[in-house]
Amino acid sequence: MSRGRLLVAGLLVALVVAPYFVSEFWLQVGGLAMAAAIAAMGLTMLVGVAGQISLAHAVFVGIGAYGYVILASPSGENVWGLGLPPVVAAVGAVLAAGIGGLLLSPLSSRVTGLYLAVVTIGLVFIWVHFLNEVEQFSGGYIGRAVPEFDIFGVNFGDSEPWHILGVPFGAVEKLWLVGIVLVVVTFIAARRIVQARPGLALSMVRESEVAAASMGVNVGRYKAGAFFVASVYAGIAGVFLAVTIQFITPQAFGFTLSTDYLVIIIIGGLGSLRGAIAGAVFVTALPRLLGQYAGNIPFLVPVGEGGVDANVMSVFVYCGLLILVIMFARGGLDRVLGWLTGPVRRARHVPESKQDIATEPNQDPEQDLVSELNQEKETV
Amino acid sequence: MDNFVNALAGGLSLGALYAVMALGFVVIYRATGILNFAHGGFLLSGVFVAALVSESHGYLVGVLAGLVVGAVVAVITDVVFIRQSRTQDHVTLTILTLGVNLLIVTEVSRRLGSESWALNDPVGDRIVEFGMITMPASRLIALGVAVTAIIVFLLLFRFTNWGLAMRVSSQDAEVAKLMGVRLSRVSWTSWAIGGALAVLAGLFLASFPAAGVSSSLADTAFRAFPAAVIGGLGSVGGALVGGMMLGLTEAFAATYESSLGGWAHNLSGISAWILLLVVLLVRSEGLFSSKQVARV
Repeated sequence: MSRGRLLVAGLLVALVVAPYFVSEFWLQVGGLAMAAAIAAMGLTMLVGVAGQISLAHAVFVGIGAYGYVILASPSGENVWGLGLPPVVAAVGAVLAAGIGGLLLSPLSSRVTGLYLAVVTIGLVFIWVHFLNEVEQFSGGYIGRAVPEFDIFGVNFGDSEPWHILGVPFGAVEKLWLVGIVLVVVTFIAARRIVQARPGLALSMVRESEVAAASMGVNVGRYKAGAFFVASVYAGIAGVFLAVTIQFITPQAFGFTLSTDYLVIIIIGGLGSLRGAIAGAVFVTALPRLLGQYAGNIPFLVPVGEGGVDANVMSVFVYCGLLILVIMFARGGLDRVLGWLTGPVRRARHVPESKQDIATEPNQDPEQDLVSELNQEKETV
Repeated sequence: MDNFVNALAGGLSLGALYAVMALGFVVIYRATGILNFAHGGFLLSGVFVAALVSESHGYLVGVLAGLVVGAVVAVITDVVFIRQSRTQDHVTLTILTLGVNLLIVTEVSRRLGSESWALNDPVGDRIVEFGMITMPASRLIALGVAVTAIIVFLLLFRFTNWGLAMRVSSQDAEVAKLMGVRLSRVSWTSWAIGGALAVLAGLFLASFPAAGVSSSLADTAFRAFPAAVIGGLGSVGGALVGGMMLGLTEAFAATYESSLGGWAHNLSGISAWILLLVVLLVRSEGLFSSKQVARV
C-alpha cells in the first residue's frame, strides 16, 4: 500500500468517527464543504479537463437545490410543490440539472472561449432574476424550507434521531456520513471518466478542437457530455447543500457562488479532482475558522464593525492564494497533496496547455527533482 | 410618445456610458487578449477616491484624482500580476483578474460601509426640459463627456504612434516586436486607458439619478460586459454600437416593462443579457469581429 493510499484510508476512518469528537457546528461546515467539493469536481472536469470556462455552475447547483425542494415539498398557498417522495425528488432534481447542462451545450458548441464565459455570466444573472421574480418557485426573499431527506423509510433529518454507541445522531451527523459516501462515490466516478478515454478526448478538445476533430473525436458530443456530467455533479451538490442548510434563498445561488467554485478549482489545481476537494474544504472552512477564532487573532474585528473582519480576511486570503497560484504555481493544492502522498501520478495530473510547456520547459526544477527522487526510491 | 422620446434620450446617455466602459474592455483585450474582470474594481476604486477627495478639494480635483487612481490601479494589475505570471494563457489570466476584482471590491466596500457616499458634483439633481424631453442634467452632461471621450480615443487610436503600435501588436505581437514596437509599453498604457475610462463612466453612473457611490457600483461594470461582447471583443466600433444597443434596450425595457404584464417585472435588469444571448446565437463572435476559420 502506497503512502497515499494509507493517508486516504486514515483520513476516511477519521472522518467516519468524527461525529463522536467534533462539534455540530464543524460537522455542518463539513457538510457545506462536501457539497462544494462535489460541485467543484464537476466544474474542474468541465473547465480544467475539457477547457470550457463556465461561470454558470451556480445555476445548476441552484437547479439541484430548488428542484429537490419543489419536487419534495407539498404545494403550499404561495409556493409550488409536487410532494413526491424525497428519493424520487432528489433523482429528479439531479436529472433536471443534467438536462439544464445539456441545453447549454448547443450554445457552447457555437460560442467558445471568453465569449462562452460571458454568456454563462448572463445565464447566472437571468437565473437570479428568475428566482427573485417567480416567488412561487423560490419563496422570494423569505426563501423556502427544505424537506428532510429519507430513503426507504430511513430518515436523514432531525425528526427520528438514531442512537449509535450511545450517541444520538441528528440530521447533521447523519448527513455527514451521507456526505462522505457521496464524495467518495463521485470522486471514483470522476476519476474513471478523467483517466479513461473520455478524459483523454476532452483534453484534446481543450488543446485544439480542430486537432481533436481530425483525430476522430466527436467534439460536439464530448463537449455536451462534459456539460452534462458537470451539471449532474452540480445537481447532486445542490440537493445535498439544500438538505444540509435546511433553508434556501435566491441570494445563495448567484454570481458569488459561481466565482467561489472557480476560485476553488484554481486554488486546488486546475484539472485535479483531489485538488478540487482540497480547495473546497479550504475555501468553505476558512471564513468559519477565522470567524471562530477572531478573538484570538489580533487584527480581526467582529463582523459588521467596518474593520477587517473574518469574512473580509478570508476573501483576502483566498483571493491572494488564487492570484499566487495562477502566477507561480498552477499545480495549486494538488501539488501540495502530491508531496504528502509520494510519487506524483502524471495520469491524474492534467498537463498545462501545450503553449506553456513549450515556452517554459523548466516550470519548477525542484518539483521535477522531487518526483525523480521518488521514482528512484520506488525502483530501488 | 413622451415616454418613447424620453426613453430614447435616456437610452442614448446610458448607452454612451456603457460604450465608454466597453471601450475600456476592448483596449485591454486588444493589447493583452485578456477579458478584464477587474473593471468593476477599477471603477469602484477610482470613484471612491473621487468621492473622498471631492469632499475637501472640490469636484474637479476629485474627478482628476479618481481617474488617476483608476489608471494606476489598472497599471499595477498589469505590471505586478499579469506580467509576472508564468502562464500566458489568456483564460487563466482572465480568472486572475476575477481574483483582483474580488480583492479590490472587498476592500473598497469595507471602507465604504453600507451607506452610499455623495460625489459632491455641482450639477446635483437638476433636471433639464426641452421639447418633449425631461432628463437629469447630469445624464445630459454624461452624454456630452462620453461622446467627447470616445472621439478623443478614436483620434488617439487612428493618428498617434501609440494607436499604431496598439493596432499592430494586436494583429501580430511577434512581428510588432521585431519591428521595434515595445509591447510592454503598449500593454501598460492600454491598461491605464482602460482603467481611466472605467472610472469616467463610473463617475456618471454614481451621480444623480443614481444614489451615489456604493459597493454595488462595481456590478455596473458587469452590465457593460455584454456591450463589449455584442460588438465583438476586439472591435472598437463594435464596443460603441454594443454600448448604444445596450443602453437603448435597457432604457426601453425600463420604460415599457410595466405595460408588458407581470412576467416583465424588472426586465430591464436582465435585458442586456438576453440581448447578448440573442446576438451570440446569431453571430457567435459578436457583430463586428472577423470570423475565425479553421482549415483541416
